[in-house]
Amino acid sequence: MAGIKLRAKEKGGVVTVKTIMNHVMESGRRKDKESGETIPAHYIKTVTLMIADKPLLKANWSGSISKNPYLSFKYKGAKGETLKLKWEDNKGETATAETTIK
Amino acid sequence: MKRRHFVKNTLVAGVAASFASSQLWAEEPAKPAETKAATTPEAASTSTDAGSTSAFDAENVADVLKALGAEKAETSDKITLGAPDVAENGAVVPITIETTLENVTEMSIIAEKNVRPLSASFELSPEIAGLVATRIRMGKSGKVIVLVTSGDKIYTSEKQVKVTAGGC
Repeated sequence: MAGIKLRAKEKGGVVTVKTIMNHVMESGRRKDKESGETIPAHYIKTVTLMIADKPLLKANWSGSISKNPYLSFKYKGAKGETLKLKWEDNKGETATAETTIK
Repeated sequence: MKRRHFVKNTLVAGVAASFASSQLWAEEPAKPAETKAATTPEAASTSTDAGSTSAFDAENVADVLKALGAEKAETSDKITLGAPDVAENGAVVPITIETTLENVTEMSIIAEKNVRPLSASFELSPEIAGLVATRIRMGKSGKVIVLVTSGDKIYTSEKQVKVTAGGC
């Protein structure tokens, strides 16, 4: 599915990963301006990153993460490995992306 | 004395009801309600032990820390919390956690004044090189607290962030 930007770059044995996932991230507290009804919560609950099919980082999120969430981290790794990302939201929708470390 | 008897009796009745209802549900239609009342506190206490899920539901910082077992977290200068002094837009507050601590297994971000203070928690593998960054929402000005679990200890760091326009 489109909507995930995933970049990973190696320098001196440390890989910097940057990713932006397109998602509305509704906290469930916002109200519709016209109808006054609460907009139901819809946000990414978990983001899992795997390197060579081994878990690297798992993020557990609440609705208070900004819209179109950004996540960045560094890890000790090497060029050429495959980095996989998967997110799952509170409605059970998922999306995946993968990239090769440059 | 009378009150004490009353409490004792109702407790006994509650326990009896819970035994009875499991076997004699059909014959004792009046009792199940009591049983429910007697078991609810128990159910509540187990759910607070359940870990991260309930920590996300906690509505104040003390409860979050309790749910994460971090009441006694030590302040550490080995954690650098990157957050703006003034956030113009509360909907997007960049947070960076950097640490030189070894064996970091978990990091959490708490926004003190949010209705649900726990924003994010990260489970890290040993390869992670001490930096995690994301963007959170903040309802109003308040402290941002980060927790870093290193080995079997939890360390903490905090920073005051002023929010000009709330983003919740």
